[in-house]
Amino acid sequence: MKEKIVEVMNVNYSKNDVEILKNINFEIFCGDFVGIIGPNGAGKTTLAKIIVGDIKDYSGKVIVRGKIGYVPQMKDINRDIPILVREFASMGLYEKRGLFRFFTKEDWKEIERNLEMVGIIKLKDRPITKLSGGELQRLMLARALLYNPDILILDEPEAGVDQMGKARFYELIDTLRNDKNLTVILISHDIGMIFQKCEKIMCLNKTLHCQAPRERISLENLQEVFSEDFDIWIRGQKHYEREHKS
Amino acid sequence: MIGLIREFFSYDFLVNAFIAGLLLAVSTSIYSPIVVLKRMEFIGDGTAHAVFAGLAIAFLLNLDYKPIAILTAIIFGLLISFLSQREASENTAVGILLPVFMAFGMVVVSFIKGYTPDIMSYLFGNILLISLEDVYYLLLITSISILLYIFMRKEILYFLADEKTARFFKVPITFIRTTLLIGLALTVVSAVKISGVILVGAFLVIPGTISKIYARKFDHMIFYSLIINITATVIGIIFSYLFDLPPGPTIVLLLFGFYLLSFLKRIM
Ligand SMILES: Nc1ncnc2c1ncn2[C@@H]1O[C@H](COP(=O)(O)OP(=O)(O)O)[C@@H](O)[C@H]1O
Ligand SMILES: [Mg+2]
Repeated sequence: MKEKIVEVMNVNYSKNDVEILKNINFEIFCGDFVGIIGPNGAGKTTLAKIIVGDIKDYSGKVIVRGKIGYVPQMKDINRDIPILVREFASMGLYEKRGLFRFFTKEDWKEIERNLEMVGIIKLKDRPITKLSGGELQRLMLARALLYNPDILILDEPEAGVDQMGKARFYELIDTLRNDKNLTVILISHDIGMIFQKCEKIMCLNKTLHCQAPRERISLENLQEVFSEDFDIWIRGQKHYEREHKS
Repeated sequence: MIGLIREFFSYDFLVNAFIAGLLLAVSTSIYSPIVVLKRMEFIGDGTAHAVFAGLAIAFLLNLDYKPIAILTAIIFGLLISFLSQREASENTAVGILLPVFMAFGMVVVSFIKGYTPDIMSYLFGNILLISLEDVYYLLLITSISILLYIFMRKEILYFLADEKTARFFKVPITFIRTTLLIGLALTVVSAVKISGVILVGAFLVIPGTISKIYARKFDHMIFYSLIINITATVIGIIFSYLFDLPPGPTIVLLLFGFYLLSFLKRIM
């Protein structure tokens, strides 16, 4: 029997009297690769922030037995700031040094090892203002890995990444998962990819409509979650346009 | 030329003005990139107007103006820090508080009997009134700013690039924001006598804006800001001495001239 690494019990969350998450219950086991899908505004990011500990005023109980490496949505980052790739990644080691302390030579070596691992070592002295979406996604991954996590939570890592880049990014996640024995929670718009890669799938739209190994998720399940938007959802590109217009 | 320089340095008040101008140039080049990158361009103006309220109180009660100015600036900085942690951005918070402090200052001024020339000189600044004590204060503030930059460089970068996730990585964002806003407030207090309440914003906005166009690295932004500030200050003071112009506004106009030049470069 594998060990439970994340337990979410009876979680409810409202903001300004609007119910955002309702009655969420699930558990994740060590080494799982879980996909969370759901339409825009379903509460996926909110759920991630609750697990990560960013949001604290929820009701219910969340137990996390391990360290989380968090890869947030790209829009959280101010891409206008002339911070170098390696400096940005160093945030993952901050905890180790802290206020008023400088990173050591070993720290910088470790940072470079992680940049190498995610395949952007050549960019280490480039400002993030000059990165593509895919490169920035890898950088955020390196930063999360430097935190030395047991669990990786990725929030829509495919946003702003081209098709080739996406495939390679998911390969990278696979490799890391095997090498480092990571538990991965992947929030995604990309239903196709989630079904291909993840062992367990959770369909979220304010509440969990289904959670099951991927073989047991049916088209009807998905239809229920995405309701009238479903046809838009299978045609990924169109959805993307719609999202960015609204 | 040599004669001119000798003449210039034979006046104590000019030497004081010159040193004060250079020190201010150094400390504002550290804050200007932060102010511009964090999009809180009005923070300088806001703090300066808050300082005005402090000055008014000091004049009314006949107290030493500096501690009161520092106190109001810090209170203003803390209020901005507090408000901007909630929903509002720094600029919104400043937009709300600036008129409040200014209005308060004006009400206080209305209680002061007779003409208040000293208060007016703070509105527009006069670098030639800089005392030795002001120079020491500036030296202290500038040293603090440099130390902040050296020892909090990485924290400042995290704060600018990804404040939200930085909290997750245990970066003390609230501490950093508050420290920076207080440092900024102290710098503005020291700037008010030079540039006046009304012009202080230019020192904090223009150098950062220009340097952002050219810099690949945060440190380069500070370095370019430093060059821009020092050039404008030196030329500004010399011009105002030669042609009998008000120094503060002359420096600001020069800064704006540099901005126009950088703009030309950008469209070419
Ligand atoms: N800061 C906020 N204040 C108020 N409502 C919010 C805030 N952030 C998100 N919401 C609301 O919470 C709901 C869920 O948002 P989110 O978790 O970002 O969804 P998802 O990541 O699935 O797109 C949305 O309806 C959104 O409008
Ligand atoms: Mg989201």
